[in-house]
Amino acid sequence: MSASQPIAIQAPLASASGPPQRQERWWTGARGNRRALVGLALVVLVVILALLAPIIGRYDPNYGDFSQTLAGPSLDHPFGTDSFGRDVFARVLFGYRISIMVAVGSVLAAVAIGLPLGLLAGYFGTVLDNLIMRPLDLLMAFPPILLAVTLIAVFGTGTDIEILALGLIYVPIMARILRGSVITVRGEEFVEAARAIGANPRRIMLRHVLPNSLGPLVVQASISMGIAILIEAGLSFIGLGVQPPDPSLGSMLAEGRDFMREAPWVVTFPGLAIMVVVLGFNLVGDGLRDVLDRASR
Amino acid sequence: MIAAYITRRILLTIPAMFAMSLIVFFIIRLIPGDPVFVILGLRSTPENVETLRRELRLDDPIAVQYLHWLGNVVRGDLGVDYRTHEPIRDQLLSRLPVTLEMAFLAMLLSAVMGIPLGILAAVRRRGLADQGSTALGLVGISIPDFWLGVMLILLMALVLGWLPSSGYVPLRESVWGNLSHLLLPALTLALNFAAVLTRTTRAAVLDVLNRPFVRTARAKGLRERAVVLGHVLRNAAIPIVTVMGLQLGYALGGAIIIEQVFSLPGIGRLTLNAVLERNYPVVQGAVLLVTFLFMVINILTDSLYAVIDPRIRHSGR
Repeated sequence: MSASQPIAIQAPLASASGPPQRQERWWTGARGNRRALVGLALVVLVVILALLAPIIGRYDPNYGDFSQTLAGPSLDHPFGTDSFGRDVFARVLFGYRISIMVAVGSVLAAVAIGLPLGLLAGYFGTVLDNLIMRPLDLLMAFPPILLAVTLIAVFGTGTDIEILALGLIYVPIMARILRGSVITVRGEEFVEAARAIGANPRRIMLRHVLPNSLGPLVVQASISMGIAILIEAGLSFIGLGVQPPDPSLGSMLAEGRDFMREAPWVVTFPGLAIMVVVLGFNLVGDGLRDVLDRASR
Repeated sequence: MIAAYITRRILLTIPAMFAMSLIVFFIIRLIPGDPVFVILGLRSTPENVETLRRELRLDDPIAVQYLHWLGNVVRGDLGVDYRTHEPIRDQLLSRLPVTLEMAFLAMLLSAVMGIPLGILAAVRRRGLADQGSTALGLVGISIPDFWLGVMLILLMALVLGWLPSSGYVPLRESVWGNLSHLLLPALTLALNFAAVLTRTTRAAVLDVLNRPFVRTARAKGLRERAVVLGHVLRNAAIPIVTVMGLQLGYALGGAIIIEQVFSLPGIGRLTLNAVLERNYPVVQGAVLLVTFLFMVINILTDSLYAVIDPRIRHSGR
């Protein structure tokens, strides 16, 4: 089942066929889904680690102890130290801050722009649909990473540019997914009923159609967070993202490469760290999609 | 019929190509400062500046500048790299085979791993292969490909010493040398791709397995093998082909990162170096070429739909 599959959650107005069901059903239903829960636990863990980085990390991520260069993992330095004698564990935690910031920033920006566009295009259709969707289709004609690199070439490096570039990649995806589910929900009986009792279009769109169309968008948002973290790390790895000495999971990998034969931990842990958080977001997305699919049957 | 279908697909791509050319044209114009100095950088001697100013037609209205530039691009003239005085087109064309070979090899490896595993997972649903492939798939899409590349170098090149860690040998010089240098980068991409392809194949095959014609095929006594390979796979092919097409396109764009990991002299490395050196005409040319190829791959993928499914080629959609 793809993320754009229609979901037909029973809305309050369509209660003729049984007791009224709560709109948040897909959300509360996630409690029963182990995969989503494990994913959520991983994500929450990473967010806590990132927030508490200065306390848990114990070391200043940019402080280099030159008597301790390329030291292996120990109690003092759980992930070892890098070629400047900096604590890899502390750098991973601070790197998470940047990863999470870029992921949340870009996905939020894309949803903020893509949601209204997709809602309007899906609900009103015809002319407005073409007016909104055709330009967005053009954006999708570019290979995503190349689009990001082009923007960075023009505007320079920095986390703000990364957020902008990733957001731009995601806007058409978010708009398209919401548009798809809005088109399905628009034709449901409870929407017709709302129209029949004379509710104005704005109210129908925001109170009835939107809440029932959000499911696939939430799934996509979760998966997109993971992809954003991967792309951010990739861009930092090739030197187009976060600039040294600031710790980013991608640039740590790039710096550690020169010493990976003597000190494999410098490249191993940042990569594992990326994998854990991306896996978390993917599990959440996957789990939610399963719950949605089941609810639609 | 197929020709008409493909023609229509090509025509539909023209607006996108037009938009792409506008965006690429404005890359240089968007950068603050005089385009001439943006392009020449430290090489701006008075003669250089004067020549380039005339060449870019900077005294004309911007629309004329654009049309002039577009005319050159359509004729295959992407300008000269002011750092090496080499035509940009030649630079791109000499790097392109490396990237294409890597991308196709990755697609091939990914298909060999992902499609059979996906079929097996669907046929033996909830079996060991299914659970294993689901878990592998989730991990596969969560691994950063460049990190996987670094780890493969560490294992295969530095620890085991089986394959070279970086560099490139042209196919003409040595077939084995060429393959051994491209195997790790292609495998890195392929492991990531196979994760997605397995999931797609599994979902597509499961979807088809429940259709009535599959029951008919079984009822008339066909062996399961013949049912799956002859009837199911053909009907499940469209999502699989779609994903493979997307991945090929992704490999071209993602080459920027992977080629850097393995020091491969392809289009991606050329683009990255141009971005880092602020060599904007080369950035323009590379973006133009890769995006063009990306669109061509999309057209080819769409055309394959018509080959696979006669309903598409006759419905005129």
